[in-house]
Amino acid sequence: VQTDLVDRARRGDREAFGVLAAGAVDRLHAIARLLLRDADLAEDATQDALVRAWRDLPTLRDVDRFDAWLHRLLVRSCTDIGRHRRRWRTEVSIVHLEPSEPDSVAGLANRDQIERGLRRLNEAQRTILVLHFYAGLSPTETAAALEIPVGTAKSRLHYAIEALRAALAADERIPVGAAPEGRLA
Amino acid sequence: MNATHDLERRISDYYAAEAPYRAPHWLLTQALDVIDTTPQRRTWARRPWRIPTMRSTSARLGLTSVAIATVGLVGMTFLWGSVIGPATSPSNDARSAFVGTWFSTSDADGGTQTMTVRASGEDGVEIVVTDDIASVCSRTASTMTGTGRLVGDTRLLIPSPAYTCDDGTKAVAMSGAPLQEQLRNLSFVLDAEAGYLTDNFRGMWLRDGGAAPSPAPRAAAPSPAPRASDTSAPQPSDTSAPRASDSAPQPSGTMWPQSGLEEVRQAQAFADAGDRAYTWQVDPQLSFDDLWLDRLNQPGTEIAERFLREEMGWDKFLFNPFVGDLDHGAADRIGGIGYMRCGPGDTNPLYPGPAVDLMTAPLAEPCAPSIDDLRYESLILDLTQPGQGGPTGVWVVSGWRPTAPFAQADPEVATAEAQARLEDHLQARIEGKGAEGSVDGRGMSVDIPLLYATTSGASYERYEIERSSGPTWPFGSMSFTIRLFADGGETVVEQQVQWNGAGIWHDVTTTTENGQPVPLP
Repeated sequence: VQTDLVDRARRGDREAFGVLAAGAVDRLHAIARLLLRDADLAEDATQDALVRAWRDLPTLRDVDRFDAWLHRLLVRSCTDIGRHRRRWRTEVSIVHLEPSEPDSVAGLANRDQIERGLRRLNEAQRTILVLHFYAGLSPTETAAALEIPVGTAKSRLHYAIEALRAALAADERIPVGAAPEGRLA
Repeated sequence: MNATHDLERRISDYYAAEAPYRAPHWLLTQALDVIDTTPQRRTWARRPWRIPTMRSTSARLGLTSVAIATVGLVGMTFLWGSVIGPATSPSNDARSAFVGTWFSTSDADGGTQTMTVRASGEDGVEIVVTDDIASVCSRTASTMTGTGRLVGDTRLLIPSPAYTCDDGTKAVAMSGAPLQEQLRNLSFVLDAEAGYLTDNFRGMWLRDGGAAPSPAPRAAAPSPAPRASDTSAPQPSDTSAPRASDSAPQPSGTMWPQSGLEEVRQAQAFADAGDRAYTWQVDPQLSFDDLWLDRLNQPGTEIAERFLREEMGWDKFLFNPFVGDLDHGAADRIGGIGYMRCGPGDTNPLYPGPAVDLMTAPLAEPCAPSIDDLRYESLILDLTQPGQGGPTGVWVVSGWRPTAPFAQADPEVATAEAQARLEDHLQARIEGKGAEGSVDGRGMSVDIPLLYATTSGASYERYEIERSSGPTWPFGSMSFTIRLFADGGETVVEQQVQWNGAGIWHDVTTTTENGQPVPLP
């Protein structure tokens, strides 16, 4: 059914695209929120990705790859918006994520610890973790979404997990105010 | 369950808990409202004619540069007349360069598009374009006729072509303005040296039978001699012909290694027969949505790499995602592919580590600038399958053009600039005013956690800046940890900031005070 919708939308059928968009918007928005960690920017990125999808859909060669292609557009939108608009906005953006499920005590503790660990990762590492562990993309699909070679996606995912593991360990043992090296001021 | 799987489960649980379940209800409505007024990129030109559309300003500029380069060969007198100036009278035989039969290079829907051009009257030109599969005619045949004139010697202008479906139905544009509007002022620019036409939708037209005034193939290119099974034909890399580096590079260029449609068709036949002199031009990954960019990212894209080595004389180079306007819109064309030339040596003196950039550039060997300490020679390639599309079709370089040199940031300059910006910002936070202006200027300081004081209200007394990563090639991106001290050093506020080559930003979610996360305001 989706293939038919994509084909119709590719030929300019806005109604068909509306059905596709309705089926994807929650997922895209959730991924954007996790990637950008900013409610306003996530909404902008989601809308931008949907508009890009409509505009560029005729260029999609294989309708069976619509989902992977849509993820790629979303990541592009998040990257563009993150780079061009978040520079200053992020300094003042506030993340108010509302959990979709009630937290247990253990779940809350896990969230806090993972949250602290993720803060220590760089953007590329956080991005690939979201795409793999939340969006459920395979390494090949993740590579397509990030527009990087599959091998790079696999290694980046591996190192992101290891970096998170190290960050969690460091979070538990590094004393506050330890003297850093390489100070500039 | 081992530690790895446990961690992966925890990550999944975290994201499942953190992700919003639903998007705001208005988000879809708003997006669809925008879409209602947004045309799709496909135009009449790609489907009925199978001409790849001109998609961007840079693409248009690219076409303009081709036109300028072409006309430059004819003479600057005609440049201004044909490209940006008022119409001038063509020379007496100028029309002869257009007269004849031409084929569109794209056959994405399997049809054949043919254009016949003939002189009419003293200075007129008539065209007849037939297409056996036209999408605007529900994939039936179509015919377009028109009368026009030359503008200068190299531009053919057809002000009001008439497009009809051969079965008598009305041709309807797939999107955008009415078909007749989109067709208005159809134009073709002649590359006199290579002998092809480029229309104003970036489509390429080649002469039938190689009768165009195209140059002889360069010695490095395989000759499409009619020996379909001759696997002993010399490989392009086997040639003893002088390398392009032995001669001055062309200012811009056209199709390579074949120079016309007929040659491409012969090359396709040889490739289909397994002739290794031509099979290297077949690159299935370039034809797939999910693989083409990977292919460009990785070494081994022979059509581009042989061109750069054999035609341009570049021994070492990198795919450059920072220039060009990558366009894979048409199935048989990838346009706007940027490459930068690496200088000699195995290291980039200013960035001795691997060349890595977030989510775009591949891991790569260090690439030293080829011009001076900072600048690289840079060009943009277009790849096309002029004959047969799909994974078994041969690819050619259908055009290339130089760009302004690509410049890497001087890491010392970037470091100094980032440090100065951060110091200004942090000093203002100690002084208790102006910090919001130093980073934003839009009066949003209230949202920066602990901007001027600790949670207990203590003012900051000093700061530290620790660089945690970078500078990273090519823009000198860096990450920093900043620390603000209060209460005689008893209280430490820590935040993560990044320099991206143009400014600083920091992630408010990383703020801690004495190691404890600070709730966001």
